[in-house]
Amino acid sequence: MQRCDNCGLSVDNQHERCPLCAKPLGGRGESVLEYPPYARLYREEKAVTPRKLTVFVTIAAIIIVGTINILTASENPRPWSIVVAACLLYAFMTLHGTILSRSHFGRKVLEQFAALSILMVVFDLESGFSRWSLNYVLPVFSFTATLAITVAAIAKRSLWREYSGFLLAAFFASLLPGALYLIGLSSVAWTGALSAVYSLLSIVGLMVFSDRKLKDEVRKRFHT
Amino acid sequence: MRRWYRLDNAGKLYPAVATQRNSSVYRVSGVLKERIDASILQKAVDMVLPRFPMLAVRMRRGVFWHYFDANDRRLFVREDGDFPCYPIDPQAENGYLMKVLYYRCRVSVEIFHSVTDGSGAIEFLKSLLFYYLLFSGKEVRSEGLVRECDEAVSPSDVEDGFRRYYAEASIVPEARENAYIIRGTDFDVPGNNVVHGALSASGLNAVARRRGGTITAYLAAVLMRSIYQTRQSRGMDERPVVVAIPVNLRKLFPSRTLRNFYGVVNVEAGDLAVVDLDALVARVDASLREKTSAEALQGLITANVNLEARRAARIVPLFAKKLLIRLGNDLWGETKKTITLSNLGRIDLPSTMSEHVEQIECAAFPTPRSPINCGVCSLGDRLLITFTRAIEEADILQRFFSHLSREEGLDVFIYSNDWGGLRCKDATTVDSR
Repeated sequence: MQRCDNCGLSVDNQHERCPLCAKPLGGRGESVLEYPPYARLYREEKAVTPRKLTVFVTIAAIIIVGTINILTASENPRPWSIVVAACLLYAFMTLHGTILSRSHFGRKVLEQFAALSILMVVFDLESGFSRWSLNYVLPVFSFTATLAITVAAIAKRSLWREYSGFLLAAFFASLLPGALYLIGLSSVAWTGALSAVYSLLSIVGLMVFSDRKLKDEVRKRFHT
Repeated sequence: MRRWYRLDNAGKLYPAVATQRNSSVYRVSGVLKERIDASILQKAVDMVLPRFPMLAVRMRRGVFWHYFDANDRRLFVREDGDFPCYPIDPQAENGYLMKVLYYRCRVSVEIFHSVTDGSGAIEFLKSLLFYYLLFSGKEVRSEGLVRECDEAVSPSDVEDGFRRYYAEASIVPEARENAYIIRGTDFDVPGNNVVHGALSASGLNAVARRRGGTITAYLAAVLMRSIYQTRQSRGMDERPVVVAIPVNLRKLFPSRTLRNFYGVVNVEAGDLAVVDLDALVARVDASLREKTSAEALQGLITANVNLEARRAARIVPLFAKKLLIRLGNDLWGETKKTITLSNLGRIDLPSTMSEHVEQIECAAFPTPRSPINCGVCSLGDRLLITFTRAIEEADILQRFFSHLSREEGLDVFIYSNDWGGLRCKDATTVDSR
């Protein structure tokens, strides 16, 4: 056993220096109390990783396109770079949030639904906002999202254990087109109604075809 | 057996506040007298885990709250390679919110605090070591001190003590001023440094008695003074030094629960410049006694449960709740204390076991506003004081341990994982083994 005179403490043989004041103590011995060497955690973080690269390329592209847009505003005053930026952000999100991500399939579907919907609304706004995105695309997307989650749930046979929450979220998303019509933002009623009805039927189907686990699952998910 | 659990009152905090810098994962370890055999340890885990169903869980997201689902997958033991209290990624652990690690002679159990508190973790560690020793051919008997696997899991093991002892009453929490916050330099590579100080439990107890307090009160007082003495020259502000002390509620509110059942009391002692140590210990001891009386702790349980029991609070959706809990913790939790001192107390092992166990260690996780925290526990006469810190500065620890050694004449033996020290930096170039 060694002693650190500076601190007045006995120090375990494994330490070359006092762990508190860093005073050199002498040799480094073996000890049953030793911790792992942590070399893996201490390895230098790489300066260039695929993720950092895509972050940089995306930001650079958005800034460059925005600059060109501003410089050429006298020729073409439309803010077209916003569309390009939205596309780039969508591509980034798809790469990291969907393709490379380990998150749940249901979550990816809902994230794609949200991202694609926003992208389409941006397109629509840029092309004069004739509301095609809210009237037709949003209902189709919510229909597709609900369908994708239902199919995945049936294929994986774990409807209630893994997918019920996502299906419920998809149901609420499917009410969105109808809600937009009611507040006057979209101008076509039947598409919104169709998407809401389809989602409702999915939920009803879930209840009818589910087994006794349903009650349990609802109780778990909704306990207050 | 129950297939799912609500989170208990204390456990609801951690999913909302846990981050990379606040892992909310603590560690309890047992150091044996010989090297750990991974396959035997795995066998012991497979044996013991079904006896602790409230630990064998995965966390899921409900609409209003998180909840625990029973997890039937296998929990694999792993060789330790991360720093203590490393954040747990459930996906990498087969869904579990805990890890069983080994390195040389040490078995470590790391648990996300939502699952259980230090007492629950110690019970698990005791049973794990018991079966490990049994399977490695040692003659060990439980002597009624270790939960064995042939006992049935009783409902009292999984009860929610907070709900059991909740007495509805309206309590207005006292307004407290913000506490002094320890600042320091982050390590080059962010991580936790642990420094353990081993000393004689009876020796420390004698010193504490002589100074007029319990071990916890005495250590809290020395901590306060160490913080004050090292930091006052470095432009310490006027805010009080507050030591947060988690209290095991099972002692006053009888329960055998293996889930969270603790309350935190904050102790401060006014102006540290004029108080001498004896007076300080007496003051801390008196304050601790007052705050851990049956009525005070009943009030604490009620106040804590009230926060979640209000109808309006219950129906806030989970994502919004998370924000509110985080905000509340920042405003009324983290800013009101300087350091946490968690004393798990004396750990009773059967004599047939303790001859194979060198010592038990426990490490409390640091947080950004509480970058140094302290865990204490003892086995036999060997008491371990463990500081876990996320900052380079060791001034407070040095003052603390030097006081015990120089002024009280206790023999303190220290060792560390050396995070941020030379050994770690060298390891990047040449792996010394």
